[in-house]
Amino acid sequence: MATDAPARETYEQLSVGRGGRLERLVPIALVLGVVLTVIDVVWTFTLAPLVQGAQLSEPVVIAGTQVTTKLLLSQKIFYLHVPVAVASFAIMLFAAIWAVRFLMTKSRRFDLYSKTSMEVTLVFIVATMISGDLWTRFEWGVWWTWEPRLTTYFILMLLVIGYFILRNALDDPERRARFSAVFCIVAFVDAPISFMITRLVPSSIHPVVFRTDSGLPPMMLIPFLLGLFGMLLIAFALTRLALRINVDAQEVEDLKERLEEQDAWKTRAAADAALERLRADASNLTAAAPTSDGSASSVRAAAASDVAGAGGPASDGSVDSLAASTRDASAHPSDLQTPSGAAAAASSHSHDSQEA
Amino acid sequence: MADSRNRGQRRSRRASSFQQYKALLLKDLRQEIRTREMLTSMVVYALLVLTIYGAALAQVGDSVDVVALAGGLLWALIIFTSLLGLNRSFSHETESGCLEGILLAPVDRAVVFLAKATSNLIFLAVVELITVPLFFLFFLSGAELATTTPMMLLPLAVGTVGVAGVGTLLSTMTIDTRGRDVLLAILFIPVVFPLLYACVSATSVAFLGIEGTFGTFWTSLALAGAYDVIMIAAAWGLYEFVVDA
Repeated sequence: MATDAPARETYEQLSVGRGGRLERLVPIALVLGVVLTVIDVVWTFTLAPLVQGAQLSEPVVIAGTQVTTKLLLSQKIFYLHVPVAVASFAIMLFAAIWAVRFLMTKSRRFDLYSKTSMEVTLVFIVATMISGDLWTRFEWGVWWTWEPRLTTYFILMLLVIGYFILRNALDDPERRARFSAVFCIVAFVDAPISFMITRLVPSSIHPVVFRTDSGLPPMMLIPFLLGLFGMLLIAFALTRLALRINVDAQEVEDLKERLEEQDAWKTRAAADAALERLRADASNLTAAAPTSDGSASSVRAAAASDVAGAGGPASDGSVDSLAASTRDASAHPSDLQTPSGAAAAASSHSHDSQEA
Repeated sequence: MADSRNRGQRRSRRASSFQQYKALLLKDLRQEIRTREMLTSMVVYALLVLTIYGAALAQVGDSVDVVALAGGLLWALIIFTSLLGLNRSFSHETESGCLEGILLAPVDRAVVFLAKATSNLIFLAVVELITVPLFFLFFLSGAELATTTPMMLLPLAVGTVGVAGVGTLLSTMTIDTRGRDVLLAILFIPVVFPLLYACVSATSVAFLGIEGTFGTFWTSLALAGAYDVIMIAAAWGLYEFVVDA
């Protein structure tokens, strides 16, 4: 149940992992990831051999060697496209795991983790879509085709976008965290489908990359693995960095809320103090007033007790009830303008303006 | 003797899950029979979609084989109509504070989900009962139908179950959100897409009835069935997080 767990964690709890060993690794991971990816790209265009494509109608000589098949330069995208796509699946897996953890613990920290991972997932998904589109344009001759892998991956992108639209449509933070965790888990179901579909659907023309019989020569396998490892490192570092930003934003949000709370508290305390002063004044005046005849004094006593009675609940800030009771008191026919009533009305008026 | 009386008392104190399920389901059905709000709007909406199809296909005449398109058209009709129905299915629950009342009662959340999903399924089935024959009447009355056409009822059944299950979870999530109608569509269509894909493929095979393609029919049907099982299990498990507010 949501109410069992502390509804609002302090920001100290939120920033767990801050300054830890993992946090110090982030810049190193980022630099290493970028270096590995750069090596991958350079290797791709220098050392990795071109892939043989379709047969040419007649042999041609390119750079001193006789070539009988078309050489596919567009295949170079493979060294970047596949690592990015794998990274997008990997981060989304973490987003789903954290969503499950959130539903188990109701700790707001995991909601933040899950949301951050989804943000990075979206970045990687868009990068995959762009690089994949460039490839399909030159390999298949079209910008887009409703091929099963492309379709399911496109749906994955729509699901991640839908996740953020859902988040924005919910105002209550607790409910937003719960619903988006549920949707994250439901959306993640599409990720394995997208990953597996090239194996399941025989009509799929998208190449199957991860298999044991790929027979990639080392000159092609090494840059690919470097790129894969580098991209995963970049994904990790990006997630941690985004998490730091999100934790800070959350912290600011919490501090703001706390400040507002304290402000409200101070206003209420001031109102209480003023009320206390007013009640003291009222009792002084009642004691000092001349007791000319019995009925008037009883009315005055009733008015005073009204004021005093209103003082109890009014300590929680409702000056209105006091004002109402004073108005009641002053509605009595005899000694309408007792000093006490006038003073109470005047000061309650000043209270109202203070509250406003 | 005393034991049986005790048991009787216990039973009267707390209804079994099946009784709760039946009560919730009957409540939905009764409400629908009295107001006929959802069914009317869904059927009319389906008719309008069919009219739009008519306009869209008006100019192609005989140059297009409608039978090849029919599977996709039929499923587009079902998805759009169910979207409308799912949006409405929770609106009267919130309007009169009915959902709060149900949640206050000691009823398992899974039972609430199951009852709501069943009522959505029943409404969808009723709407399909009316619109699918109309679809055949409007677009396939002149075409030569393959003998395997009745097999389209299988993907129709499997697909409708999945739509009702997933739709119930998502429409519960979107009831109190800003712009809930659009949001349900944004969440529902991508989530239900794998099911749609499989069902369209199976339905098209059934409509075309080409010898040797029935492997695809059964594969698609198996995929749709697997999707149903996974998604309804997920929705069942996750429902308690969606309703307890």
